[in-house]
Amino acid sequence: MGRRPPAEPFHARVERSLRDTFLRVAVPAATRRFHLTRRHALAELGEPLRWRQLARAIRAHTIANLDRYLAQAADAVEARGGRVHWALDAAAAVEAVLSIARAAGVRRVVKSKSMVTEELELNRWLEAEGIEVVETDLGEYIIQLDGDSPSHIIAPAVHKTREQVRQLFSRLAGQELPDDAQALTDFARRRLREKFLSADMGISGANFVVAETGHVVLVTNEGNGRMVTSLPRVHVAVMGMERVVPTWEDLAVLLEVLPRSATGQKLSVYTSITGGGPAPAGEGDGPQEFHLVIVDNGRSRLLGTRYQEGLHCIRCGACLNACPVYREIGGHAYGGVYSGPIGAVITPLLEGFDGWEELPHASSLCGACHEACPVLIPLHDLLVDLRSDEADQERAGRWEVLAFRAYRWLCERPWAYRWAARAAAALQRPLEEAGWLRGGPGPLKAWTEGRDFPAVAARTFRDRWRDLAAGEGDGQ
Amino acid sequence: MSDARERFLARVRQALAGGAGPAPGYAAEAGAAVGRGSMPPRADHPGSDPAAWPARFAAELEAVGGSAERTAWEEAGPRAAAYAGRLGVRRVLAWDPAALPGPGGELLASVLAWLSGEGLEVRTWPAEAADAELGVVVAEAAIAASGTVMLSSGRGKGRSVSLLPDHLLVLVPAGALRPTLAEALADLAQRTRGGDIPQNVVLITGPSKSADIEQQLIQGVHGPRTVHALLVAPRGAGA
Amino acid sequence: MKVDLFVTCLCDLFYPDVGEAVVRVLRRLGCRVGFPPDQTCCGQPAFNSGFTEQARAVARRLIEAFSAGEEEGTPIVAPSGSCAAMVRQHFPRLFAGDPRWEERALRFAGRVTELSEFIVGRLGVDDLGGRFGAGLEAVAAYHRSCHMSRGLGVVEEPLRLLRSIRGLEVVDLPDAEDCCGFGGTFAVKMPAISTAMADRKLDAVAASGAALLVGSDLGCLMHLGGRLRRLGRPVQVMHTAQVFDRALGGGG
Repeated sequence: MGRRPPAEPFHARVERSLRDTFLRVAVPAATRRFHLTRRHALAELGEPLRWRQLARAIRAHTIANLDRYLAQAADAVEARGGRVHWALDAAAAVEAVLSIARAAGVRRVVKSKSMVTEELELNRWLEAEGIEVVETDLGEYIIQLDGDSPSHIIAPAVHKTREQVRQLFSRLAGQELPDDAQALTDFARRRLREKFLSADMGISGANFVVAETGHVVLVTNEGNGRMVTSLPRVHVAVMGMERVVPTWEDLAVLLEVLPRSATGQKLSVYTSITGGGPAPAGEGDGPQEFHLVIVDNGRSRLLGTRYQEGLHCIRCGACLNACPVYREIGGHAYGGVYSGPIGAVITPLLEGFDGWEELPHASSLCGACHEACPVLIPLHDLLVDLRSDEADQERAGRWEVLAFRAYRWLCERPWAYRWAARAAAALQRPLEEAGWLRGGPGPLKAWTEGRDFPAVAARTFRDRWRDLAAGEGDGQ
Repeated sequence: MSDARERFLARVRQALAGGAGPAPGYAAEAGAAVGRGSMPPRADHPGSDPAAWPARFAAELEAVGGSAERTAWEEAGPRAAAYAGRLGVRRVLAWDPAALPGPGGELLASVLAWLSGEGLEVRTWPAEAADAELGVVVAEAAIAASGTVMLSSGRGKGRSVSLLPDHLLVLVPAGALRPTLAEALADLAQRTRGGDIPQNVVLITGPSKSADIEQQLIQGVHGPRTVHALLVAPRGAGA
Repeated sequence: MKVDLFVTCLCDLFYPDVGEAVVRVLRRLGCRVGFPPDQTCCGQPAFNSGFTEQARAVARRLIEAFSAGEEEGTPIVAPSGSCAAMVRQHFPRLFAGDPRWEERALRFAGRVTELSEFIVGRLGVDDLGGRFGAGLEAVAAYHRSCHMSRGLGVVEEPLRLLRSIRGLEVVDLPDAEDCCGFGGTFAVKMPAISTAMADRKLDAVAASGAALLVGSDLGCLMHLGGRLRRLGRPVQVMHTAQVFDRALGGGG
């Protein structure tokens, strides 16, 4: 079990995204807006860097003591009458949820947005048991109806047009709905309200789990997270094991940076601090059963390595919004559950390099991701480290290995470097046109697909230096 | 089950102990010595004078699409009725005033009495929630810096009341305002550390919203479409 | 002041005119310029591609090439924010824990500055306008390259120098902090994405109304200039050193 890389190769996915004219407008518009509001919202705090340093310190401390805080959270949940399920991998996590559903006789599940359940492909497994699963975040609902997958951590349906949504909803309604976001949203509200009120089980993710009390913290804007955790008789929260936060004081800091970094809000509309245990009898609503599923699924492979900081991520999406590569290709081209810079880092780490070799290279290393990250993960440095791991594992292409061997040899020998420059200047002559090349072999071909390339100078700078030095008499 | 727990935690423990951890030299600014627990001063802090907090709270709530007004205790009922009147709603679902000890319960009782007197149909929790049009609750805390109200669940304090009706009226008693989230969560921490652990606490900042369809902002996706807060002065203190 | 020029391989091989401009600018500002002849590349292409051992070998060669000035700590000036960032940010990491090289790498990193950073920060010059009265009549947009702005933190220095030049109108580039899509080997590994990013940057240049695009990194300029030429857009591309050189009455 576990997800496989898409069958379609990376470059084909990229080409498809680049041809998607809606995507090329919608994604930059949305990410630009998130990016600017994020910056504004953090600036309002006064000293954004200090807040980010503090948030990072909290995450670093938590992950460095993860075993302790997970044990504390689990103890708290059990003391409050909740149940904890430990899942080393996706199969164990799915089995835990399925057995809870079987025991409770669940027929219908409502879900709020959860990236970790995407990792588990939980919906597929629940449906195979004959259980109806309904995604209730508006974006996720749209995605689910279309058999699609989310393309952004916080704006899952950013790649869908209103017309696509209108058609999907009209099919469901059995009548043509108007081309109006308000009317379409109202339709989803009515439709999903019935589902909330009749579901047996709610499944949520967890933005944080407070170790002190076992409370699950969910940050949402629509209110579906509240519905899912308040109305059905069973609440199952599925958490990636890194989502724990030691104390309320730590939570207070992380909640100042998460919504600001995600959507530019001071706080999201709903911050639910819920569960940990079942609702006490006599409250009239709230779940009668609470389960916490703690998922490793490859995460422990990052612990103790230089990639440990990858687990500091609080899933705000700021790196996606800042990334100029994401802006061009959107989330689907990355092919995994997590896209953008954080996806390029953690996907190969969680899943292994096979089928994901290109991801660490899908970055110009511009550093915008690190600049945006609320917990200061050095994403661009980690991408270089991953490239280094790939080279060490002999995953680089043959021409590249040879090229860098030659590069080293030449750069270590200035006489050879000089000779090679002259040779290149001579060899390029048939291709040259007024100082530029418009084609060529190997990497030059890739470059000149869309750009002209400057010819190597007939006289390099080092060849000119003697004259320059003589001119002023101050050379070496 | 404890077996699974031990295996899981042992793997985490071993991985943490066995490796070098994050490499040095990465991201210089991240290395600055910032200790947990030392919260930086914030430029947008509403200040230490509680007199300034209601206006800030109202401005923040309005900025996110909600509304707020300050009122004398004695005027809270008429103001609530006026809000219901503007919305044109008839069916009210409220928390049970008997479940709220102290001034919050008295305030809620007086507001509900007024609404009933105005001819609205008022039910108290637990009761059928699905067809209610207006929910009425009492904030345990309210945060000036973000226009947020904090509600916690309990007997007579159903989660559904602030969630299912199309409109939400929140009574914020005098003394419930806190400057920032940190103080509100400090109150909660004190409470849970004292052994009083609510199953559900929610921080609500304005009406439900989404921008999932072509980034167009829509209010009222699953939760209330409108949120109105009454900042109520102490009884007999005027507005 | 005595300075050593680290001309960088791109400049040496493809843009020797820029190298000459750097030399003239530094001389006009009173520097004696040396060119250690054994220098080649900083190792960045290999480093960024994950060929760490090759990068280390090339980096060692560069440090050795500049060893003559090591004692006195002669400043090293490079007409590239990216290469300077490679040395300052990554050399210490490349040699961390290496008893023979760590110390030398740190000392070397301490000597390396980018051209405009050097002019403003070390020479204390932030006005090129009236010095020789040459000036340059143009509307220019400045591309702040990522490694220079985010890696070195150098953003204001080149802008201040450009704005001091008589006749040169420096307009704001929309989304100035966005990457142009060069990214070293990224430009040939992911050419389609790289080119799409260039187009977005060049659309911003067009929107700014600039007829001249100025930058401090030849990698970015090679990429943007190559795309401009392919598109047939009449925007002129210059390195900051060439603009400074013109302002100071140099040969360009």
